[in-house]
Amino acid sequence: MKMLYAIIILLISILLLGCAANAPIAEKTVDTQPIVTEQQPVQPDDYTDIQTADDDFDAIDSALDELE
Amino acid sequence: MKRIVTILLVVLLLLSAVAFAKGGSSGGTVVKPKVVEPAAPTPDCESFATVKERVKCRLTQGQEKETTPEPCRVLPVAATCVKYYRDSVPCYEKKGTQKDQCFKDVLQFSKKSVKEQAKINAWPVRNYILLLLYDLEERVEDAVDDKTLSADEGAQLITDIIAIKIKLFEKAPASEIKADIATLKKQWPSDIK
Repeated sequence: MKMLYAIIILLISILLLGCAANAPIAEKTVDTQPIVTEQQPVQPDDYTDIQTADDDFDAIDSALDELE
Repeated sequence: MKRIVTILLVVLLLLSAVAFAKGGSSGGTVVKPKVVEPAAPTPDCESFATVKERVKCRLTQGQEKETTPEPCRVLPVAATCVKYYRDSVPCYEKKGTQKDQCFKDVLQFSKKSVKEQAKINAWPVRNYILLLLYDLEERVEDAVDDKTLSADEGAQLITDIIAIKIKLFEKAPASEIKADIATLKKQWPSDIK
């Protein structure tokens, strides 16, 4: 009889382990805070704001003016 | 009592089997045999004779291996030219003043402004123009990727930019390069910002 109880306990353990293994991923993950990195401020003085192709052309023209 | 225990045992056995079966299918990866179709042979872009053909090939086929940038090929020693290209790659991920700062850092500007730098040493300023021209190339490549521009139109624009770069390396007069830039500006499609 004791042997039988031992087998039942073993089977219950297997059942619980199996269920735990199949728990949704969301339950296993730990919420992490987004990493916020501080960017070094860029001094705008003397640096050209290059956003568009026109900005590229303007910067090229200015540089060529200095080479003439 | 024995009967109840036996039934309980059978039920538990069945449930355990279900739990294990589920665990196996979600935990591992199911590998399905992949049917690999033989890919069509892609042409080697380096095998084309003209710059435009090579550029067009790279625009349509992509670039699998690193090759010497086109303007560097005309130089007796391409290593320095290639280094500028390699070092400036991270700059193209940046925007605004950060991009400009990155260019100037790569070229080791001793002054922040082009005007001040040109007074001391003009060579970094020439290379600065190269990196700006490369920025324009990137915009053309993006436009081809977005189908805003055809591969042929894109290849033509990039070929024109490469020609200007070569003139810069060959130390052509600024006035001559200015004229080429003006022509490029006229050809520049208005929808490429």
